[in-house]
Amino acid sequence: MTENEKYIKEARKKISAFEKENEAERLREASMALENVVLEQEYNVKIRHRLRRECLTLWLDSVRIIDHNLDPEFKADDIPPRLVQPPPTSDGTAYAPGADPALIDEPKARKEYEKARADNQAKIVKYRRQTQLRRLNERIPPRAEEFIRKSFTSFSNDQNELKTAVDAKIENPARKAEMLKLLAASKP
Amino acid sequence: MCKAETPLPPCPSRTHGNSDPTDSAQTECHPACTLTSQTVATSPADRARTKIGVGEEVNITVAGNPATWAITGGTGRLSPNTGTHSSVVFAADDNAGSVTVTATGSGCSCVNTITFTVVQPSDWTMIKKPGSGIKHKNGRVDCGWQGVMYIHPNDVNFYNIENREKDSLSVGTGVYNPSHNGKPHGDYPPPDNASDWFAMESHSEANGSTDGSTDDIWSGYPKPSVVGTAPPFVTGSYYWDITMQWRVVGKTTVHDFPTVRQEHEIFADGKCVTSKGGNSESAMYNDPDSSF
Repeated sequence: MTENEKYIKEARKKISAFEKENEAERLREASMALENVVLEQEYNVKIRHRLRRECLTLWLDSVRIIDHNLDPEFKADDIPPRLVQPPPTSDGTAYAPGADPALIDEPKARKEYEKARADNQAKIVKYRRQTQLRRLNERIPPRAEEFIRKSFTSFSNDQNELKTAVDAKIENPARKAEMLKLLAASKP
Repeated sequence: MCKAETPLPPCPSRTHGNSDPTDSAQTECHPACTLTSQTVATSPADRARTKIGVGEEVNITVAGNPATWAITGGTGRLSPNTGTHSSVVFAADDNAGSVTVTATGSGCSCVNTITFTVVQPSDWTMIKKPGSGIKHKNGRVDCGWQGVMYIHPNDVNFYNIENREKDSLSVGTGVYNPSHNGKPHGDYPPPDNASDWFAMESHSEANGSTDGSTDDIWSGYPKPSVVGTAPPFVTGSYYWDITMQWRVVGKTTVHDFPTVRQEHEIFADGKCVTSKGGNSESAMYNDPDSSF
């Protein structure tokens, strides 16, 4: 296996890992592996074209995954608090935010508090993930576009390959339009 | 410290590994291979700084011929780390210290280095959330404020770390014992008994790096029949020695910050004081109702 094939395999593995773990960092690692592919090291045209096609697929997969997971309703300034305020107990004692739900003696109040804690925890997890995805969205699509600009010419076979791949992989209409603009921008 | 040799060797007709597959023109050999760097983070304003935080990324560019790049001292990551390129991204890992990146100009024997000083987070403090109020109930000896945690030092950006709180048990005395003694701060679940991780959200040179999350730092109160309803109140205090932790995104090693105390105290005259991370706020029992 060549160095290039190793990096492509690694990128593929990291993208699969993201699908399983839902950990955004795996996508960043995949993009770093793809950046290490040096197509010019392959002097065999057929092999170089195969590697290029595999790289393009993986770059577009990464972009598609970001689009699929980014929440368009996400509000960056709606940051979840660290802890949730519990209700007072029936004897008039009040505990600081974050207290053990078992301290709340009234069952209905305790249940509401437990739900508020669970909701806040879910919001913290989602906020972190969306923050990471937004950062990846600043990193990965520009690099995918750079790869396309550098690796594809304006010759019709290159353009057709590119268009077919973008059409097949990219679902977000705005993203697709951006990507298809690259067709015209590819170097002669 | 560009070490261009004289006479310069001829440049190759094609830079092997150059990212431009159609470039077959003769590459000029540039004797100068000066390196410049620019932090990815736009704050602090000095983006040419070479003191950076753990996990920070820096774009490094070589003037002249594309170069092969290597970390020749310290640890971190270059991307790409193969082939020849005019620029790469250096990312610090979670180790403090000096890191040297060396660029060797393609075909020119032109070697240059740039050295970064990588620093870990040293500590954190709290500031009261701007525009927020004091939480207090008239007639009760309670007080609280909304804090936002800032990580230092301020002259680097820790956007690529995450933080969480490791749980701790309160130590209560006087009127707070036993009601508020020995209680977990967050009641976080095993096995880590720690909060979820918080991503960093912003940086300012005045305050440092923050996740922007609010921390409601409120005293609570013992039952009125124990603390009293008018002066002299039964006094007491309780605190948690809080351990926050950090890690670089994508790394598994978890680091502890120095412990910071969160403390609540009731005085006989009906004053309540709540302190955390270098900031204290107070209220008197007869102050009007107010909220965060």
